[in-house]
Amino acid sequence: MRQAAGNGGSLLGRAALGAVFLVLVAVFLLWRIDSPRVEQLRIALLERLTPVFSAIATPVTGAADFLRNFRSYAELRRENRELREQLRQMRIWREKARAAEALYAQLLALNKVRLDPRLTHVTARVTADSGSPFSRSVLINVGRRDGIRDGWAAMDGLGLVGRIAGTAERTARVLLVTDATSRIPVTIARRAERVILAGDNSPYPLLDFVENPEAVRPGDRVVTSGDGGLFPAGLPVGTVALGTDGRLRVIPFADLGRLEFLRILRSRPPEKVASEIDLAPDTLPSAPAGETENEDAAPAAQADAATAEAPSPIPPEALEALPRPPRRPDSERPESPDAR
Amino acid sequence: MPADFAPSSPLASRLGGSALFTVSLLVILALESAPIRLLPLPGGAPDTGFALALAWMMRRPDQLPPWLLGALFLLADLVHGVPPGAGAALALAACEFLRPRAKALAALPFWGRWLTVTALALARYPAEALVLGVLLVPHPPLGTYLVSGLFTTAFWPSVAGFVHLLTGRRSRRQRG
Repeated sequence: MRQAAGNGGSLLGRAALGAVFLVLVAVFLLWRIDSPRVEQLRIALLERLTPVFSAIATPVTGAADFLRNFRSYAELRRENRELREQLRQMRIWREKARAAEALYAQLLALNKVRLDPRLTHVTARVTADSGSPFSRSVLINVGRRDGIRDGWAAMDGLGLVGRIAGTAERTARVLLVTDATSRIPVTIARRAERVILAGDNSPYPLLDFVENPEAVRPGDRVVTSGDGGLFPAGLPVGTVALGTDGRLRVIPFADLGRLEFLRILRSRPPEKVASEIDLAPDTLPSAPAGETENEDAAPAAQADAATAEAPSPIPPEALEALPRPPRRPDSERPESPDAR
Repeated sequence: MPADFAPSSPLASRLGGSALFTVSLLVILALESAPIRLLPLPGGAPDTGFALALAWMMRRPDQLPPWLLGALFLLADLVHGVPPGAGAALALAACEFLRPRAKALAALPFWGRWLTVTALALARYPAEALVLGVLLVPHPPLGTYLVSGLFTTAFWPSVAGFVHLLTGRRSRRQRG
């Protein structure tokens, strides 16, 4: 019989406790040494658990949803009025967008840019909030079976949400931009300032490595820079704001508190960094045209895109939501465009 | 209170208690990983599972063998998306600190037990940050850990009440 559990003093009880303790420490050290493999185990386990957990939580989430909907009915009237006002303003913006679109089409034609046809996306549903105050991530219901790879960008309808960090057969984990281990190369639109968006588990990630902070103003738009080849360039991220601690932060466009559907950008085919010699563009059959740079899309959360040099200029594939612009090669406009 | 203790309880009742604890912890994990935030708290969140283990440990340590605690804490680490093992080992250490003292603690008034939990929660989280820091694992700022420790403390009385309901009824039935 297990008398040890009662008084904790017997030799057997101490040995059992020591063994359990050692196992836990060993798991932690294993994770520290070979994080990708352990993360793979983690995501495989979470894939099994998610259906069970969501079944258990159904009554509570259902009730919370009901409450939220009820509250929203009360707000509908006010919201309706606000929306009308916004719609009026959006009409103005629409005209501007149309003009910009025409200009964009012309510039595309001038550059003979071809958008990568493989730049499509997969839409996924958020199945679980695999987060805690110490890590910000969500689980989605697509995985390796759907061709999802580590490192791909995840967006909601509004902006960048994070990137894939860990895939199982039918589940993937999205590390949010707010996570303390998330580092994403971004640029301040119009100011050509290349900085790193560093999450710190607060709702508003930090802007790190800002070379001249005077040039960055609250309200500036932040987009991905595409440095390091991890993400396509030009994905909308958020707007700059000055934190209460006096540091530059970013208010994400994405509604990170309430993620339901995510769009996973198939940004590039999975490539392996073999050796330096193999990096010639013609020896890589799977590389998209014009892409010579490889970045090991490491599944580890520590994949530090900041250390990668040689930024690769990528066409703004992120705008895949736009309809294919009409090509008008004859109409050329000499004046400088609204440069990014 | 101390009469609730039954260190030499029959195996069946002890296993039943272990199962009840396991189910409670799984339900907590399931609620925590629901895709909507049920407790929108700023700066941190309570580790309700840890609070549950502490409360349970004070009442029925015989129902929580170390291997069960270790396995469930490791599962919690995996579900929470934090480095697996470190937090679990520290949580286990906190619980095992209570095990030999459970009888003495049960004799204490409520605020005495609460103070013990506060000390343990506030010790566990900075220790975790320290371990991660020493091994150069990127981790959130220390403030997040402290705030979470405080939230855990703040939630402990309600969790303890819940545990009282579960274990109290059980031990009464078994005595009667």
